[in-house]
Amino acid sequence: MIANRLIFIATLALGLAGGWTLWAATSQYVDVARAYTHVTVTYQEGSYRWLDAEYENGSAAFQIENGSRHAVTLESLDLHLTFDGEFAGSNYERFEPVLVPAGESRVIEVHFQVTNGAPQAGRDAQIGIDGKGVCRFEGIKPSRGVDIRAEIGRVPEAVP
Amino acid sequence: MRRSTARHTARFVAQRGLEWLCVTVAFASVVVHAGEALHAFVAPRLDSAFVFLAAFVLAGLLGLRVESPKALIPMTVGMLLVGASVYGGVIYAPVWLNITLGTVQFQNYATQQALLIFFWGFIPAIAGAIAGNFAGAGLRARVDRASDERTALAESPSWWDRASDREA
Repeated sequence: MIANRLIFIATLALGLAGGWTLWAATSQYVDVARAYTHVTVTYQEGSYRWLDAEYENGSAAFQIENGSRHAVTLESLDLHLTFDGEFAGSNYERFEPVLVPAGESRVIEVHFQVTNGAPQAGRDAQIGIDGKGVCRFEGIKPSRGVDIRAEIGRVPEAVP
Repeated sequence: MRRSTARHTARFVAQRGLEWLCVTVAFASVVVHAGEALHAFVAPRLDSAFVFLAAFVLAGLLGLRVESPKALIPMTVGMLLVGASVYGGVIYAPVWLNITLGTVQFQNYATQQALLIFFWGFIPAIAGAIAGNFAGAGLRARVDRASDERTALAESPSWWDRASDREA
């Protein structure tokens, strides 16, 4: 009788503990999914400019918006510059990680160097940017890659 | 007498139903913590082998309490099915909560993971249920005897009935 009652109580206890841990795990997973989808890295319209008359160095501003409940660190940024859809260059400089607290946003300036294509090809080309940023969330182990894509268009003026 | 038997049966069924619910929820929880798909997102993480262990132990608990194999096997399979479905549901939850977009690929992935858990757990669960059923035979016999004794006591006439018998 006692053994039977003990088994019943143990089963109930397992059920209660299971229910609680199941709820906690599901909440964690949903929270991570929510965090992953509430962080964006976007090109700021009209921010692209040429830094020299040879059209070899350019710069663009990107906004990191963190709408999640976790602080986010943009750990790396791997962007490619394209002229008429063809690879033209990249952000070759070492990237310093940027911390964005929960609910805030930051603007970063990214420098590009043209390493491919004809001289001064950037003057008349349709410029585009595509690549990926890697975000690490506070309290969440796996980092997440954020796709970045921008159609800039033509930027004929070079600022010396 | 009939009302008492019906109440006894209802109580028996409710108790077994509650036990089934408890082991099912516990199994679903273990699977969510040990399943490969949620490994990176859920803490504490359990090794995948815990799925086998949980299926065996929890089905064993069911087997200890449920005597009839006709009831035990569907209950065990039901535990696995519901536990695996909960796991698939948790994987797919961000879509239901409008956090991410639902794609056919994601649907297939959630279904595949749930099926995998069901098949993984099947053999240990059936083995656990049978082992529990055999182990619980002595336990249930003792309970049945005690229950019979209680029923026999209820069947014996009360002092009032006995007094009226004497009058007759």
